[in-house]
Amino acid sequence: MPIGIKSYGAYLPKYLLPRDLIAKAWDFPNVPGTKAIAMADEDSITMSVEAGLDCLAGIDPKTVDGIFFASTTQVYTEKDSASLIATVLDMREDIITVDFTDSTKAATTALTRAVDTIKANKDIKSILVVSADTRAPEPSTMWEFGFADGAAALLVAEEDNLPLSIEDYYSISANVTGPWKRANKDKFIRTFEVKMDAKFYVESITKVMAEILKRNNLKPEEIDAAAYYYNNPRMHGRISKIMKFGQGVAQNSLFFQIGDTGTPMPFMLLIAALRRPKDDAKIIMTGYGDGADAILLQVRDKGALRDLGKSRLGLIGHQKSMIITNNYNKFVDFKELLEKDRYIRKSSAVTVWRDTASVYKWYGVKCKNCGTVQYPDLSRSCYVCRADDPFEHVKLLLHGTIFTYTLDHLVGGAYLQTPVPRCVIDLDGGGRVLLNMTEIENPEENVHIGMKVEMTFRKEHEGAEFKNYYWKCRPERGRK
Amino acid sequence: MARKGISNKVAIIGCDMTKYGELWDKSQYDLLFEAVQSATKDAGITKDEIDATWIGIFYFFTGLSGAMVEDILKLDGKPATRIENYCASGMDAFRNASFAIASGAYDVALACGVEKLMDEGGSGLPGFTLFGHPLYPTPSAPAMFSMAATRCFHEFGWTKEDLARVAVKNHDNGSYHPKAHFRSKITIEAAMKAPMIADPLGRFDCCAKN
Repeated sequence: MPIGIKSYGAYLPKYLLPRDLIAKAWDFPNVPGTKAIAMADEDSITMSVEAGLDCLAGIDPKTVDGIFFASTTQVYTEKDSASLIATVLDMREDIITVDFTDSTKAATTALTRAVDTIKANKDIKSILVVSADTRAPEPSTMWEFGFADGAAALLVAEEDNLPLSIEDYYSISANVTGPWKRANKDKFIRTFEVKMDAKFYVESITKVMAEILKRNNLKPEEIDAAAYYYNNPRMHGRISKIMKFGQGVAQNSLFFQIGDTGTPMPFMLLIAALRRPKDDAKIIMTGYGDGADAILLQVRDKGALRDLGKSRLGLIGHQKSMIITNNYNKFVDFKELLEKDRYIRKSSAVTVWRDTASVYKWYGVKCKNCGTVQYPDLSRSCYVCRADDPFEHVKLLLHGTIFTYTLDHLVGGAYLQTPVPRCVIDLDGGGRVLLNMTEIENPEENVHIGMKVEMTFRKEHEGAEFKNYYWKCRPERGRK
Repeated sequence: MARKGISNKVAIIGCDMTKYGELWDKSQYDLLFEAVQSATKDAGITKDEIDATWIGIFYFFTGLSGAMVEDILKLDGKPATRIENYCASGMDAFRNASFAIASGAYDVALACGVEKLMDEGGSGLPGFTLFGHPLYPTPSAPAMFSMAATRCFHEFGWTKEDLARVAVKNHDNGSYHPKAHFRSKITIEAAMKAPMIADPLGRFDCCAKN
């Protein structure tokens, strides 16, 4: 049975930072375009959850047999991210979870290993490969123009009638010192000599793509789309020339709008290339970082790809709801580059674990006596009919309408990024919840009763010295 | 369910309070001491005639506050009970002291309450991040009440001006009281234009911290 891509999803944060603001901040020469910047309550786990939700729209997460997470900005160095993402996505317990880290090619490596894993195990039929990066550039360096934030997910599966098949893959390794970030010391990415970095990049990426063409007896002109990682628009054109790809084959639409998203970039470029699928189109996807991976894919069902495009936010859907910020300091604030007091709260790993169903998996309870759906599941008696122990767990929906709200200026007894909208939300499908709102500009004007909102998984605080995550609401971005 | 009230008579024989305010130079202990001193004076009794004490207190969560009143006044050996019931803690101390007298267990009981919030700084009620669930939102006290206001505005057409009239009335009352924190009258315009604490509740819709 063929192995290929069953579904895809992406996530781009709400804000775009125009590069001229960076140029103005440091008196640098200007670089055109904008780049996507994640908020302070986002990291590679929360963005992966978003991309995973987008990818699994209409697919039961309980049917997926594993999750591979790829990032250079994993939030823990001991404790994986994949298991937390799997929990929030409400996947099964008997699945495999692996983190692929430390290199920007981690996403393409994870994808190839997912194919291997499916090939080697008769019980594993599908793996969600999700990738996210939130690389913080050192202020007043040229990295600021490039580094951007985002996530993408591909669902790899072994089944008939896949929209996109994986035909072959090939990898090479190359040890190059640049760029790097020392685990025990560096806050920001460093490099020694960008020209040497560029040389290794060009060599690795052209070698791996040439080899996969050769292995499959393909000529460059037979490739319909090439989604290869790049961190410099000039380099993008150079690779295309060396490879002798035809006009428009190299997928290049991302850098000027979104920036260099790091690990998930090849997935994003692939998703961009699938926008107007052609019958039997052959696509190369390539990741780079200490070597390179090339993956050869082929369109098998154009109609199914179009349907995926319509039923997912993907890149375009997210881009439509992004807004441009006119304030460079927002970026400094989002990346938490200033040393200042952050909102913190007492926490307990015991409480969070015990309440996993409600705080991570987004389950409420339904009263078997009167049918009322309620949240959270702390109470043992029904709010409405007062019956004792009448509850069964029910999955809540991630859409709702504001019933009432306030704009709280006294958050945590301190003036931290206020006001915070506290919203009482009537969820579609039942349940009334109290959540903070994120991604909101001018809440005095823009929050109102009856407003449609979506729930989004976010970083809350670091009480008890671990990462505390919970759901917030946001103005609708259109996630299915 | 019976709601009969108490069956014996209980009288308030003396009461007093300290002045409200920021009172930087006074501790929680000073305030409690002064209030009890003037209340016993008002009653014409000595503190030794007090049989038992009830204290209403919410901050801070020491677990020792029942003993605190005994300690300050050196009422050693007298039963002491702390009542903690949010903003109703003081009223509830009085309610429970009344029950004790009505039951015939004691002849004279002291009901008192104290908070010294400014010792924790001026940014809203302290401690909201120190207790409760680590993840569910903890709106500030004004925020909890303001969500009801938002919905009432929506459902019944009430306005911020309706709230402002309450604040104007309260400040008017305060202006006559020698121990009130604020003794100035305010206008409806001032109440409506005050900085927001938790939209739609502004500074004059919320208790001052003191």
